[in-house]
Amino acid sequence: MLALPSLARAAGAGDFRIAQLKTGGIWNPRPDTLRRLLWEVSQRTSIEVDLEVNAIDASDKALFRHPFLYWAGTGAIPELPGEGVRQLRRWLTYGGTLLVDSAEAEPGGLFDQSVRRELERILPQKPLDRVASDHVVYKTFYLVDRQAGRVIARPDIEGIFLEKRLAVVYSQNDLGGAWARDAFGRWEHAVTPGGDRQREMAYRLGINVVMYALCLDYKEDLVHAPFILKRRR
Amino acid sequence: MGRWILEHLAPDAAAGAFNDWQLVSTTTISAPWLVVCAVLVALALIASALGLRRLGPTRRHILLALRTIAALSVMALLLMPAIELRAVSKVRARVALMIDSSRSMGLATDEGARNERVAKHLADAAPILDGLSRDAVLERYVFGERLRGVESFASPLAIDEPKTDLARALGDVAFQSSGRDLGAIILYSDGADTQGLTVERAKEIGGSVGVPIHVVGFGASSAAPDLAIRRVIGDDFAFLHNDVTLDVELEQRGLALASVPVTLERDDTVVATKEATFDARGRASVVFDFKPSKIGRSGYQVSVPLVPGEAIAANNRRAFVLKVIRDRIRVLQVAGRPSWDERFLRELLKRNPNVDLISFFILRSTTDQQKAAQEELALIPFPVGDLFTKEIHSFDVVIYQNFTYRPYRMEGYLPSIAEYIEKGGSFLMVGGTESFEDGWYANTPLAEMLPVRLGGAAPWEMGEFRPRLTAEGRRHPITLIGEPGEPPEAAYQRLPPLSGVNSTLGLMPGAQSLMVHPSLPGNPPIVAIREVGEGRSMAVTTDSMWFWRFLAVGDGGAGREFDRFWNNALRWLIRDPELARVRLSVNRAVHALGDTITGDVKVLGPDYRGLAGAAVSVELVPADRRSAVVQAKKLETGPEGAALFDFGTVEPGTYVLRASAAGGAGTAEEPVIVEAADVETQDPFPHPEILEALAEASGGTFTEISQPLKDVEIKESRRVEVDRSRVIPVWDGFPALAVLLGALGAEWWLRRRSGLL
Repeated sequence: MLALPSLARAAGAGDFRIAQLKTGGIWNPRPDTLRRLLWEVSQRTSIEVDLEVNAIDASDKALFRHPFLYWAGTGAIPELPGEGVRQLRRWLTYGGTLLVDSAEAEPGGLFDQSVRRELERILPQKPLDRVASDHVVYKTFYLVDRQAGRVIARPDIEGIFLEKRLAVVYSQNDLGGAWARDAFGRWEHAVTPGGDRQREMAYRLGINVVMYALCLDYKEDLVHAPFILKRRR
Repeated sequence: MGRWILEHLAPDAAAGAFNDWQLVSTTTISAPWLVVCAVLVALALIASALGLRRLGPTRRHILLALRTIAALSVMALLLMPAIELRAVSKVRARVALMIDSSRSMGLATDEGARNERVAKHLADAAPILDGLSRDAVLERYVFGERLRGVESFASPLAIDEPKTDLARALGDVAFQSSGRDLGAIILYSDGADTQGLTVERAKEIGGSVGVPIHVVGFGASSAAPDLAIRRVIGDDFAFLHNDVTLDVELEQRGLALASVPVTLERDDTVVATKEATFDARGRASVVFDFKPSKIGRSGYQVSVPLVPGEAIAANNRRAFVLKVIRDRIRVLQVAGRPSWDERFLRELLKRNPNVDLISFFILRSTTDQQKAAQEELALIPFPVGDLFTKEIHSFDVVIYQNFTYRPYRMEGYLPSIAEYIEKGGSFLMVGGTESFEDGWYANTPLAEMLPVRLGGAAPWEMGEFRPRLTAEGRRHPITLIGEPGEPPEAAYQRLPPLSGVNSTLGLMPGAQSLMVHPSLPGNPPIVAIREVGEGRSMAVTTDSMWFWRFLAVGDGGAGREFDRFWNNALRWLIRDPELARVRLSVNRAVHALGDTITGDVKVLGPDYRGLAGAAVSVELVPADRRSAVVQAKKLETGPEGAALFDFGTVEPGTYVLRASAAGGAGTAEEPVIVEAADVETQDPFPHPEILEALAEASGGTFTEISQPLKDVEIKESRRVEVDRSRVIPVWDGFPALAVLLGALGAEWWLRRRSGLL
């Protein structure tokens, strides 16, 4: 197996780590894909990562050790338990970032319906909105100007904002499918219609979402920084 | 008609016995009842008019007129009118003779002191003043800050008033009530008003007094040679690091100076020096623009050199206190890499509306792979040069969060960061695998500024731990993060353990450790602070503080302890006065020579409530020699934690009042200035332009002191005295009754003819 090399250091408290939400139904359609993303994050950015990905129930107290949560799936997902819904609401409200990735890649499909139903339970009165193309998530590290994933089922990503913070990011283009490699390092899924470029853009979008979780609207600050500094002269 | 009344209504009186008459009412009915009667009569007239509508217009108008005459006759009977014959005589107006007795009147002129010249002028003008007594009553006043009436003027003339308020003195004279109209004012003054009276305002006052003001004043050339700082114009508060503008106005007479250097100092340190060039009138002004770099009150002074031959040395220096406040707290956050610790601290700082946050995060290191063209990346160069040389002094707090300088070749900028701290900046280093010893800071200028000691410490230490509060930490405002009333340690017991620590070699001299690692050898500091130079530094040797925000929520908390910790740290770093437990206030910052300095000191306990019975020491020390105590008091606070103090007369200069409370409550300082010159000598020159404006606007005259007093015009009095009078009723004679009966009879007849009866 062409396993990912070790990062040769123990994970620290400040390291970036991802937990994967464990639900009923098919909750891990792209095994090992998150390690691929984390590896790319560690290689391309200054972020120190913990390559270990923990699968975690929504009601598990350990959820709060992971401010970044990945929720993938395909097909119908049974309802989350009430305690899990309450804990996810609290987790999101106090700063957690949830990346929802549909491996089904079918808007209106069973997974999509399940996600919308559960998000409505977790954050009532906070509907999913289209994330505008000029949102900072598209420029936190890479300048991303197109959608990406295994397929292009939707021309945009959706999200839920909590006090202007993009707390939930929802892609229906199967990002994990584009990131996934097998044990020999071969791509597991063909990417259509854009091929390798679209796959690269899927990585870039994933890295941008990670960067957004860690830096929030930092890149918007920089737009204003020269002005602020000049004002102080 | 007047003559006819005087001759025919009192035929028995001697000719000329009465010279005036007036119509009066002799009724005993009170005014409210008279109003009621008038209303009833009016209603009767209206009702009458309504009843006459079916008549032709001529008859209707005649009947209405007759009824009106009858109604007026009734009212006349009720009012009982009479003519009062009077023998009256005019009351003589009063003339106010006002002498300026402010201290500036003691200043020298080319022919003696000003008050001496006034006395001589008064003596020369005695015949004119005596002559005024035939047509007016002469009232004598002296004035300065207030107006006082006197029977006669002292000899020599008094010069004891500490200020000159011409507007108030003239207003008070106009409102004096002695039963006589004011006819004129004769004013002796040098015009050196200390309340900022302008020529325009003098014109307004002159026009509003209502009588001519005859001024005897001093010409501009009569002053002794002197150079003075006339005014320093500027706000008494400013924003930190923002431009402050001071306008300094100078005046010189008789010294023929072309220019002088003007120096601005803060706490006896020169801020700037500028050259002021005098115009033909001997006036000059300079503008100082500077950016205050220290929060709080500071004593400033503006000075010009003493010139040989000057009459007054004290007015070559003007002092003032400037209160410097911050508009927003400017924070520079530099993070070596994106991390949860950085993210939650940034989120907190961004949420604080009082914080202006500039962040620089290293998003990609030199060893990271490049899989995109530069134009596809949203990265910018790290602006090391500008940031750490030009801009650093504009920040209140600089945070290095898990940031090492090495990859960015910043060795050359570490001295400037150290200098920033030394000169009053605040610096916070937050831990991580690229901080402290692990960030290669040992043996750098920055290491000398930190509260923790580096140089051979062990590398980053993994493992969870629950930090332990030190004795200082149990009462320090940074680490008091629990709920009100609970023991300091209680909050730390319910928080999740932290993880990972930068090893250090303990504390630097003068530093304090607030939290320590409970189990590592030597209990290395987790949170340490230090006062270094004029600045402050703080070390947090872990990158897991975010646990207190996010993990604590998972344990049922709300992350408030995290918020409190960092907010407290920020407030301590910026020296937020609200965090001080010793608070000193002075009743006045600028004192005249001889004034008593008074104020109060308040001591708060660790719970920020007034601490009763606390021992407090208050010292007055020169700003430039703080070890030399001029005066000192030992006090004990009262039930509310407050104590009053006062210090007697001290020499002119800039001082610092320093209060220290026992038991580690801390110290507080306030600047105090004792000025050598009083306001009367700060601008020692006569101001004839003010006096001329007063005289001209009032219709009076201005006489230079060397000239004799001009004729004094007096406004005629309108007030009269009644020597005797006689009241002759006009309502109870036959004519009044005839008018009433005639009107009623004619109306009866006409109504009968009209078929209304």
